[in-house]
Amino acid sequence: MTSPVTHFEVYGEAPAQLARFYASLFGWQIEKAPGVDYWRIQTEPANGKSFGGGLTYRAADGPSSWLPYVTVSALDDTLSEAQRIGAHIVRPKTAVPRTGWYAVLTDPEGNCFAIWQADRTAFPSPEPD
Amino acid sequence: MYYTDDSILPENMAPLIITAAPYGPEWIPGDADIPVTWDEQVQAAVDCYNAGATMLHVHVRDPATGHGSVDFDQFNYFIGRLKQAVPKMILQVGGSISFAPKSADAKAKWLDYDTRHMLTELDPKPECVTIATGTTQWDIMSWMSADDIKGTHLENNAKVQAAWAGMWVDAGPAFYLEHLKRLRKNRIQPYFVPAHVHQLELIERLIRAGVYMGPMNLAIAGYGGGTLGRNPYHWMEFLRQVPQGASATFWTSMRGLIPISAMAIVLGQHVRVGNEDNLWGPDKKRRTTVQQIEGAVRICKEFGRKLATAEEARQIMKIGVWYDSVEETLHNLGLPPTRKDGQTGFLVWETDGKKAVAKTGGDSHPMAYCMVPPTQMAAE
Repeated sequence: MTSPVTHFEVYGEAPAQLARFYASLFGWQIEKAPGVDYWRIQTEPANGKSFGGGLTYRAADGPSSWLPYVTVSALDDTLSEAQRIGAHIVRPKTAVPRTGWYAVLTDPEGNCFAIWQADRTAFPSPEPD
Repeated sequence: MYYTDDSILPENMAPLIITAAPYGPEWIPGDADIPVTWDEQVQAAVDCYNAGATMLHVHVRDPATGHGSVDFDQFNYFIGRLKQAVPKMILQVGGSISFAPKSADAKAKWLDYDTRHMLTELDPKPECVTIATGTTQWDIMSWMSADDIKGTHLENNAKVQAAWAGMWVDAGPAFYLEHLKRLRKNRIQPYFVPAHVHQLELIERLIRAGVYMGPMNLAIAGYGGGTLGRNPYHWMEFLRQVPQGASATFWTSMRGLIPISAMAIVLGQHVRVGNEDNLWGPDKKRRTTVQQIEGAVRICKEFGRKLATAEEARQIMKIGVWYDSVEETLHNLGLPPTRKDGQTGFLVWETDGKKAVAKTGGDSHPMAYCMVPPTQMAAE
């Protein structure tokens, strides 16, 4: 079974402006999620075949290009295998609450990509504040 | 606080203010009744209000990451929703937040404690922001038993336990002097959280120095690990030193919260309950935040004390009130005046030497009023 590319993210210092840029250029429907700095992208809103994308602030370790997400069936296994064959971890396994886990890597040539596994029980461990 | 013979009767006590702390930033949803989405976090406030809580201790959880939020915009968004959902509740935002700048431009501008001082610029404004006056160790693990953390992610997790054991609150004068100034400028009342009587002394010095001029609302922080413990004598000694005109809440953790809350209720003080502090009932079975509020309401009613409405809670805490001088602040708090040059002895406020007629219906009982005869006798 192959692992499909299912999502992508775009980053910037001024995501609201960037959202307008892509909406203008490609006609994408881009809407900000309430209460969080995340803009949901629908690439083909008219025909319902939308490719899921997101737009947000660039993280300190974030790439200066789009980031493709590859959905995998077992994130821990994929992470181990990726490292074994030459990948480097940029961001370790991280939870999206009640949604899934992701990690960001670079391939042996330095290209950045993320892997994703859906999991309704995903949740991060709290940190002292 | 000074107790006259009638202070201990429930009908003479100020109505009970219950503060709800339902956002448990140290827990995850599998541990307790933890709200995550915005709708869940708002609904938690509504449920607490409906159960009898009139003040809400606010932490914000970022629904996208599951962690405590450090996003200024998210705080504003959530407070805005709370103001709509529970408009009468007193919102008391937890002050141990350092906001994270989102852009390189903001990173360059936010210096030192600015990331914490931004709490004073929340919009819409909460009624209160908690403020620590004095740096303190907060080893919350030091008195937690295996039973306390049973079934939570802390159980058998030495690494996370060590992280919480190492918690401390950075609140030296370089922070609190400026923070109090900004709170006053933006008309957000400080909610003090002294961890021992010596931090209460610091607050009094801030008042006598004119740094803070306003009502004194505080939670006595009995969390162990560097703050006050569970020895009732220590609580009583602390309470003895709380100014007569202050509003005090007893605040501790886990099952110790139950007897300490009962003490607070029968002593005319106020309580804070919720999953941030405690997960258990007296039978060692889990209690949600709402169930803990219901428990405090039951004790209050059984004892015969009135539960505060939201309007009464605002009056008791003097929400929106500020004073314009040191003397006005000291007088309203029932503290003695500041010594003038050359004055000797223990100080009282100057009067014309005549006894005043006792006030009725108040909740404070200055000593002088105890000896005032009824009006008709005084006239004879």
